[in-house]
Amino acid sequence: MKKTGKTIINTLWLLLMATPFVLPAIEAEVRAAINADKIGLDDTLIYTLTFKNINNPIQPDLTFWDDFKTLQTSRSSEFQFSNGASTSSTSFTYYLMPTRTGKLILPPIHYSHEGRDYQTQSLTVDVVKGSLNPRPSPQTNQPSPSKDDFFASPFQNQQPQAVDARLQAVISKINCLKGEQLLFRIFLYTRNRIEAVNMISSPSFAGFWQEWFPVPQSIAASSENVNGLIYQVYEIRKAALFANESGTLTIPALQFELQIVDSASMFFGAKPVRRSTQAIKINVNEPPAAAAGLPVGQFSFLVSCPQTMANSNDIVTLQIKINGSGNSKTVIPPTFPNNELFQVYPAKISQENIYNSLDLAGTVKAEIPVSFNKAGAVTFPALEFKYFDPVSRSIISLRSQPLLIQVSGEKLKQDKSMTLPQSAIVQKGEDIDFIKSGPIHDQARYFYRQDWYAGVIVLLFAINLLFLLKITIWQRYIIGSPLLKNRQILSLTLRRLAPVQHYEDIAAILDYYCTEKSGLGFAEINNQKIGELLHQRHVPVNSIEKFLFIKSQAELAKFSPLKKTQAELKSDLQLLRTLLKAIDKKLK
Amino acid sequence: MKPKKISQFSILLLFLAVTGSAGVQEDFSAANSHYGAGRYGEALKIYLQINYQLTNWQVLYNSGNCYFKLDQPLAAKIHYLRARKFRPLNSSIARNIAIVDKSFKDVIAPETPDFISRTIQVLEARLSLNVLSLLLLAAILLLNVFLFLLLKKGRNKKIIYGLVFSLFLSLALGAYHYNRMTGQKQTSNAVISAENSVLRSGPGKSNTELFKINPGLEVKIIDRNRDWVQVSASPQVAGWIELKRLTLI
Repeated sequence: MKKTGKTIINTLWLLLMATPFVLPAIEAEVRAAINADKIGLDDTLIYTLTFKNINNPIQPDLTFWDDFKTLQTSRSSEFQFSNGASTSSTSFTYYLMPTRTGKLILPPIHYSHEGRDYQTQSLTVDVVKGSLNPRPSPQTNQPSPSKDDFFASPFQNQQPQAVDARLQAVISKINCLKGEQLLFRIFLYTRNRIEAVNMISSPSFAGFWQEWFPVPQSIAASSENVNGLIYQVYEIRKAALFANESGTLTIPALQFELQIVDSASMFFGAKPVRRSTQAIKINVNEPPAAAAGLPVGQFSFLVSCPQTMANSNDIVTLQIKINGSGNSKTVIPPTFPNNELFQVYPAKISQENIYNSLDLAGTVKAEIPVSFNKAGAVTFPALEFKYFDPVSRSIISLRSQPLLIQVSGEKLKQDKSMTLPQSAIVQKGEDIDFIKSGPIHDQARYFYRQDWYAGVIVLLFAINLLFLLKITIWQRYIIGSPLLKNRQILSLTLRRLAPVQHYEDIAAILDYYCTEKSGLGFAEINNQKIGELLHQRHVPVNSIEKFLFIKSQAELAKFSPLKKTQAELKSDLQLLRTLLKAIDKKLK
Repeated sequence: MKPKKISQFSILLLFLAVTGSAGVQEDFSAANSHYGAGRYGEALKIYLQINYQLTNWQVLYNSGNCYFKLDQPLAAKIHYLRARKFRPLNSSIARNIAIVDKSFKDVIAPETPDFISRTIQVLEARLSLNVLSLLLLAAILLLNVFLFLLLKKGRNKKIIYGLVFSLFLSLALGAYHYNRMTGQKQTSNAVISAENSVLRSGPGKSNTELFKINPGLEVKIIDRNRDWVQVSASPQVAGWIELKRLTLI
């Protein structure tokens, strides 16, 4: 029980201490950092802006800075879920080149988010002539796994020699047509153990509409012999690209951070290494003039109706499904023209992607609501869907079958407007429930928003805190301290003396006082020892004698037939109190 | 301030509160009479005036009825949905929303909640936030009492059990209260109020058009990016739309 009690009290403490940290909401934050305080004029400064708990921050433009030139930027995002709270952070990394020497200031960045303004601190960098980074010596040009890279990596000089990992971007076609699907794949060749791969560069590049394939949970490796060395090859990212302009387009180099298992580390931790893919140029040609505006790829086309019979007052939904390898975003489903038999409403269009191993298949579905103007056999005409097939280099035209629906029943007259009036609904025999009456009060006046509620909560918590303080610190460390215990002996003795009515009662109280103060047991204590003790503590002899006299009188009173009067008792008690206070001062 | 003056001031405040609420109550009765007599426009004017002074589900519901009778289904739905925030399980509100929904082109049938969601809904409907606030106070007070007993009477089995119970009760009620409080502050529902609205694949007009949607469609707000909000009408129909095209509930 004692243990349980202690656990509960400790839990309460923890809760009370944690309360102020739990209550505040997760705060947004914008921070700036640099990788060095001193750099050479030929060096690159890495400036990192971190936006914490700000969704999709807009990348600040630093090109207006006169003292630095922005060479390259990258973006990375991180999401964490810890102790029930989620935090997200987005970092923009700027590779800056100083334009002059001296103490250069990186001005603060201002950012507004949800009505609040955030500002980073200004940073200072000392820029000196030349470079502070040691340049690679010419002797290191000997063949090495990390040197014979398939492509130039801007960071390769910073990597240790033991790291043998490189990236290669592969495109399915170098020459293609505008709108044609290209498969873009990024392969990782490595002889190290890789723990994780993070794409740092923006996955968006100009001139293409791109659809990145979902990253699988685990990637199977294949083996490949490159220059006599066996590499593990992983397909780390894949995207379907659709060029949306003609000419020579470039897929830029994409930078990745590889977490390489560091077996040299004491705890087998991961070592981050940055690698880039090579840039790829693609020649994009315009499709023939007759195919201008048509989707490019191979498609199937289906028009269907879920029913063959309908009531003239019903709304029937016709469905169009276009499935294929072209850019589904550019596919516009054909629609039915209105005529005197039916009215066509705007379609609800949905898109869906299927990620196959070698291409992206897109499906566009259109749901077209139609209503009928009169009963009878209603035929929806055949629809035509055209696309350009890049394989056969011809325009393909697909035609659906006409749809026949037998419409029956008398058509109710109704408002042609899109919104049915209340009267039309009521005509159908339905009406809204009647109004409500009775006493009303303000339901948006919540107690928790009012000052008194916050006051009461704080008060109750403060009382709880005081109780806990009393139970733990006060009783254990203050009341239990030797200093206060000494004081308490006197005050307890005086308190016990207050209600004394008989002279003999004084004896027990003085025995308690003397044993507690001297540290001797009841069996050991006697007037002689008390006298010696008081004498040692320089208590005046007169006081010692008076004290011992009263103590002896009190002990004898138990056996004496002659009782002292109340006046005498009162006088002796008064004297005893004065003596005790004087003695106690000497006994501290 | 002397006790006599304090009591006089309290009586004055009480009088003002009673007379103030009595005025609103009279207005409410007058508006109801107008509605009963078919004078929907006049009734609506008074309901809207009351709405400025206080927030009450009956006033919102009756305003919705007036709008419906005046052939303004969009405004009617908005008011019904606002009333539903305070009385989520009220059958009249649900029925009137179902009827007013027949006026709109785009209506997505609400999903049937599972047992746990339904239980939470019922609990939230029965237990108002104010009642919850008072229960929380009572639980903390109970914790105080047991701590006091622990201090005065020392550790014994009953006091320790009482302390544990009141501690867990306070924590559970505190967590639930916090959850309800934050939920109350967030506006998570809205209604499409502009014609020719489009849901796009991202925030910005350059993004692909996904769905054309019509006024009256109730949507759930998922995310916000400046003047654009990401909304979802159903698991299949979701996208980004300009905030100005919505009316927040």
